[in-house]
Amino acid sequence: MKTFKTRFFVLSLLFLIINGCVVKSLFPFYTSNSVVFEKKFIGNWIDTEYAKWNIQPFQEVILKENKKTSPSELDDEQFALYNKYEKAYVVYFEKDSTKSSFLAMAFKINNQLFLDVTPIEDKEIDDLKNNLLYKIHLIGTHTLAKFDILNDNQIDINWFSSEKLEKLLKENRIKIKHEKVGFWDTIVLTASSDELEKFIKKYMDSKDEDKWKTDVEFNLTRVND
Amino acid sequence: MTNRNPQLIQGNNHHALLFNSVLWFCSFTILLFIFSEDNSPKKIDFIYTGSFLATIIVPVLFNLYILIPLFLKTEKYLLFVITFVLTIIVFTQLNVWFFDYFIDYLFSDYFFISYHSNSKLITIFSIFLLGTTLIKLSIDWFSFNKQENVELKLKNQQIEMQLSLLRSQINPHFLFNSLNVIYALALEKKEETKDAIVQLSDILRYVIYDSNTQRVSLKDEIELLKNYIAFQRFRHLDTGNVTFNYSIDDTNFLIYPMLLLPLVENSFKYGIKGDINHTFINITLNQKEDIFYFKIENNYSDNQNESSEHSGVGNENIKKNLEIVYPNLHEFEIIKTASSFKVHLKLIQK
Repeated sequence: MKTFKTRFFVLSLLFLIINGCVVKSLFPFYTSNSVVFEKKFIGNWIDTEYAKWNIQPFQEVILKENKKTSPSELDDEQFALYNKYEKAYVVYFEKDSTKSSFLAMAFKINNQLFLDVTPIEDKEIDDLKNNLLYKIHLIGTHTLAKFDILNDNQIDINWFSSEKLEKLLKENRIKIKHEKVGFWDTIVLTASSDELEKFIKKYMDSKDEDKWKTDVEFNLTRVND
Repeated sequence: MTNRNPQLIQGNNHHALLFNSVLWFCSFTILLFIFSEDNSPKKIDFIYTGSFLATIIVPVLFNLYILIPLFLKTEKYLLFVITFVLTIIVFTQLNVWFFDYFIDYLFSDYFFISYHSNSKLITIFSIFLLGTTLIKLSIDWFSFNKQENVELKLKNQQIEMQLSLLRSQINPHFLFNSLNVIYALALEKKEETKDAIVQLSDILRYVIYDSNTQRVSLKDEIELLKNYIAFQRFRHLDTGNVTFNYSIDDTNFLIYPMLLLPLVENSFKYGIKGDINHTFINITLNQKEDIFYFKIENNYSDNQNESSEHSGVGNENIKKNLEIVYPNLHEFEIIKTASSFKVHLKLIQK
């Protein structure tokens, strides 16, 4: 019981810290028209906190996971995913012996690159006992990150801070579909992807100089294989 | 209505101002609460509702004051439907562009993101344009109906005035002739003078009081004619050739008052006076179901031309009366021969 209480407290704290600071959405932040594929993103990276980032093209991963060499060998469901996420990446994130993986999609609005990130699996959660009961209550949301390729060996990823959105909502300066959900009244955007893109465009044009200021930012440096 | 008076036009302008004030105030209030997430509208809701209304006012006014008068009221229905649909499509797209691009220049601090899909916008614009069209047509109908009633009242007043005028032309005419009769009797110092005055008094009572109604019974009208013929006997002692035959089914059959007397009066005045040796007046009156016939014939000769001009005024009055009180429900015919003057009158009860 003590273990559970401690784990609940730690998870809640982690949830508050992490969930409270980035904007989450039920729908992707991109539309098919804005999706791009950046080869430079692929590879092994390390951030300033020494976390390891392994980025692979989604199509390669799905073939590897299914132990196939050609997409035609995939079953219908996997083949549909293979085509649907043609330009997606799988991000394997490893920090302090915890591992998780995400589906990332790069898209470009007004010449600015962004990443839409959604979780695929979390080893930490998978390791929990009775994980099935826990897992059935979870739903992966989409988050938005400003994505800048500084050169072949350096990239910056800045997640869009929820503080900015909360401020806009609090000041009644924005009308965007959203809900407050869960134990902590977390704001989850429920606007469509078209509306989300429209929001990003307008937000980019806003006069706020600190509009991309965030607590969740990563400076990645390429690691030679 | 082509000849509308300035007061009506001024009234319509006032109505248009009032109509638009009420319409847009109500629309703003309703939309404000629809567009607000809860029942306490914020500044952004006022801005959005005002901006949204600005994009919808133009097509609605365009429809109300250009398309409807130009096409709908001139019965160019197909053209109206086409332009109406085009207006909805074009202005819906303009609304989208307005909120995608121009609104940021006006209100750069605000983010208008989640509002309406294109299909929902088209629905809103369609409801607004259809609704305001129906409201406009309803108001126009009420206005038209009111105007029609006013015009009908005016027309009735005109008819009443015309009838009153015609009656006032008959009564002095009749009185003048009657006084001449009594004057003639008095000159001759006849015993019958006092009886004649009583007869005239009865006739005048009928003419002045009883005839001032819309319709009188045939019984009363026949009584008047009998009195009149009896009165005329005081003057024309040798009026043995005057016959009055009538056959009626319903004594309460109603006719317009004082319609027959001028005809009888004319016959006496111009027939008896015209040829003293061969005078005659034949009066026939028939009524069966809804049809009423009146025929009167008197002697006539060419040397009566001078007096015919006077009788013509009486007949014209009768014709005018008939056109007003029996429109398309009467026949009036004057038949002149070398020796007789006939008038045939047929009335159809409504």
